[in-house]
Amino acid sequence: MRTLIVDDSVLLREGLASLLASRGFDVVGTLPDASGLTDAIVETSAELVVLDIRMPPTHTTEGLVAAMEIRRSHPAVAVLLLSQYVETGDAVELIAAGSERVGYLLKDRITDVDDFVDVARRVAGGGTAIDPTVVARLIGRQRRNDPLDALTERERDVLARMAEGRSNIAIARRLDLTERTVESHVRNIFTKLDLLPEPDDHRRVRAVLLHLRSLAP
Amino acid sequence: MRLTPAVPARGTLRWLAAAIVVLAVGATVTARLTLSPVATDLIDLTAPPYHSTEFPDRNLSDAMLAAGGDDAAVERLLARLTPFAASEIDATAFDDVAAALGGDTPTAEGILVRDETGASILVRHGDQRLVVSVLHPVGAPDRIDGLLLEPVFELDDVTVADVELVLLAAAMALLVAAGAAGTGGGGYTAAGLVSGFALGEVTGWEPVQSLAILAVPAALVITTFAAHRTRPPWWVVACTVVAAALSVAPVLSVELGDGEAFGHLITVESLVGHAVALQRTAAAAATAAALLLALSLVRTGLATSDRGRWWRIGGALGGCASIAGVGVAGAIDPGRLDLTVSGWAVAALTAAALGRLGQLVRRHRDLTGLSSAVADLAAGRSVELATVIGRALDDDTVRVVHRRGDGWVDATGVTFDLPTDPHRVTRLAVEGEIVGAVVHSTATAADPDRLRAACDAVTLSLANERMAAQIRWQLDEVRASRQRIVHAEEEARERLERDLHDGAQQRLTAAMLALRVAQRRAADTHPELAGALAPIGDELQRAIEEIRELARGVRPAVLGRGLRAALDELAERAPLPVTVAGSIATHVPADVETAAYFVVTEGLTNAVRHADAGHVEITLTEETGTIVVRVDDDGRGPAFGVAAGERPAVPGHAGVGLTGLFDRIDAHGGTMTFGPRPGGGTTLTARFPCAP
Repeated sequence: MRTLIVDDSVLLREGLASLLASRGFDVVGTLPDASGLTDAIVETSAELVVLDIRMPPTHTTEGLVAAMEIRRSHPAVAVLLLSQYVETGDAVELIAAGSERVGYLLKDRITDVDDFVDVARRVAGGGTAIDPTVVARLIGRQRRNDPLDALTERERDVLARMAEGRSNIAIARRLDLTERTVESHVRNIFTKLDLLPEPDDHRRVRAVLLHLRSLAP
Repeated sequence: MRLTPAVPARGTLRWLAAAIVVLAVGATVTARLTLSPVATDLIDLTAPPYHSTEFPDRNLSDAMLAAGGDDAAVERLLARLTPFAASEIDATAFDDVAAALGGDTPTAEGILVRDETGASILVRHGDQRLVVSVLHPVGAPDRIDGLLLEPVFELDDVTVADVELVLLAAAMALLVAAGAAGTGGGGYTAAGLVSGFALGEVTGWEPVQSLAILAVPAALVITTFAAHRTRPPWWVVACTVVAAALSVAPVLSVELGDGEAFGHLITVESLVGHAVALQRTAAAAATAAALLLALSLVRTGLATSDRGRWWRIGGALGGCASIAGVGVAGAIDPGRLDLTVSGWAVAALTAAALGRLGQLVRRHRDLTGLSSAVADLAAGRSVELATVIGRALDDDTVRVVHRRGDGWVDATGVTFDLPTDPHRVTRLAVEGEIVGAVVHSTATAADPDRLRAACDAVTLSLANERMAAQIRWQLDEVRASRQRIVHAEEEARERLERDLHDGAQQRLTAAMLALRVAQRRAADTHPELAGALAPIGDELQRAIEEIRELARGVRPAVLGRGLRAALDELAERAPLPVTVAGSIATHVPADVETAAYFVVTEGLTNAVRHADAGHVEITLTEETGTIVVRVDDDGRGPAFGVAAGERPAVPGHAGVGLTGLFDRIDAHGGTMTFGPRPGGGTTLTARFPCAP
């Protein structure tokens, strides 16, 4: 997996590079900021770009802007965005533009090494990954007449995992359920939230996230 | 303010005044002493020789002829001939006198006027003319002539009466014009008095004449006082009183006497002698006083620079010349000491004084204009200071310039070169510092009092302007300083937040990553070491989370994405349903966004902690030039720890955040109000001005 790492912190950049390299990723380059990223992608034929959202010069949304640009110009390249803090707006914006080969993680998730590598592989393989905090924020938001109140505890758990971008099998494994049970929960959730079932996992993530986002407080 | 400008001349004038008073008194005493012996010369009509003087009078003669010898007409004419009223017309005595005169042929057409004392005047027709004969003692003909036959002088073909008439008419017109020109009550009074005097003289109507005779001294007094704005110096008052009293004395002695006092010719003689002396003295004193006054007026006139000054100087010189002429004439021939003539002389002088009075009134009006101009300046109304001051000073050359650095600038800010002549520049100081200057003519400098008054007004105005500018500047400074403080605080928060996020947190995350990698490697070979590393990793994780929340509290990084994004995030994290509505298109300074953000957090905190609200609505709107942020909750109502709508006076537990918030809002020129929401709950509204 040809990977580019973009982060202004040299410590993290090198840490990530050695971590991913040790896990079989082919780190083809590291950059301190997003300028020249498109050229580097073309040059190195990168398949995955791991990049920080906050980078010079303004330390605001440079990474997000660069990610959107890559998705437009190189849709085959997977993008995994890392953020110091959760910005649900950014995450939803990113997913709304296309949920294939994209991930949005809180930066400290990388310290959960196995999980992080798993997410990186999932994204590179065409899947979606959304930080649990983003999902928790969207699901947990206080609403009057909350439609989510209709869900059972278990269904809420399944909804959260679904929104994180996990497949039914992964959800089943994580929640210690059978795949069939998970499928049943998913059907119930879609019915209760009045959503149309989606065939692909990544499109399912997009539908769920946009729906959660649109629920009136 | 004293109008006589030259202080050194004051002593000289004072001595001159004293000399005049001494002269007046001395002349009176001398006259009495020298003339008293005349009274001892008894006149006896029955004891010749009599001296007879004939006065041919063509006019009178013609008039008598025209009257056809009518006695009543002749009597009227005689009454005009002499201040001695014809007390008796004695046809019988006429013959006696005619006989006594000897040689002449008495005719029935003649008239003898004789009063009880025996002083006799014989009027008769001569060869186509009237012959007036006066019988009087030898030795005193001049005095009697002068007094008794005053109007009867020949001046080539025109009589003095005609000249008088013309001059009086002119004086009257001048005075009426001066009075009508709006020179105040003094001017009207003087004009009225002298006009009445003239009327009496022209018509010969005695009551008016008697009263109007007072016009001379009155006009003199008015002239003196009118020329001096405040009380004149004592010597001027003394001059005026002496001249006025003496000028009226002979007239009064004659008028009051009215025959009865003249029981004997001796008395008449005596009185006549005194009267002449008094009249001479009066003329001299009045002349001297008038000369002094004229001198003062001329000097004052020369010291000014307005167009009217030549009229005043001309009038003063005319009056002076007239009085001098009368005085000289009177000294040569007491019969020419004519009150009427001195009357029009005084009239000319009065005109000059009225001119001066008019100038004073005009200046007073200009100074009033100056005051209102100063008031205008104080009220911030635009007036041309130099124009107003120029008018008040009667000086077209006036310029008001301001001190700017080492140089001078005019009102439009253009560099101005001060004249080198020190008499043309008056510098203005405020608190010992030169702030400006008034440039004027040298003539204006000759009236220091007036100049000072005008300059004081300018200084006041400049000082006012300066103070206002200073206050404005200080206010701007304070406002800017507060903005700088708030801005510095915002910058510090932002820097701290960035340091935490991009510095400490990144390092901790990197360290954590390295730790986890090491932990994983150790897991197979040294499981106990891996076990020991695990809690360190957990601690690090907690530290990272704590730092993240800390940084968020310092300044939410999401503010960098705009106010609306930050409010959305706030709403998502809120422990109660929060709706955010509206947005702003205008670019708002980051500091204002932060202030608005903290307003909302304050409103949210109140809604959650104190109001027990079920729902909060955040509204972001934009009115012309104003950003409005409103937080409405449906809770119990205001519970900020302070009364609704008030700024907390004492920072209490709940007020601390609010006070800081108020400062933050004030610094950006914003306002915040809070109070009960219609229908229950609390509404908090903040407004910030912003350029569209």
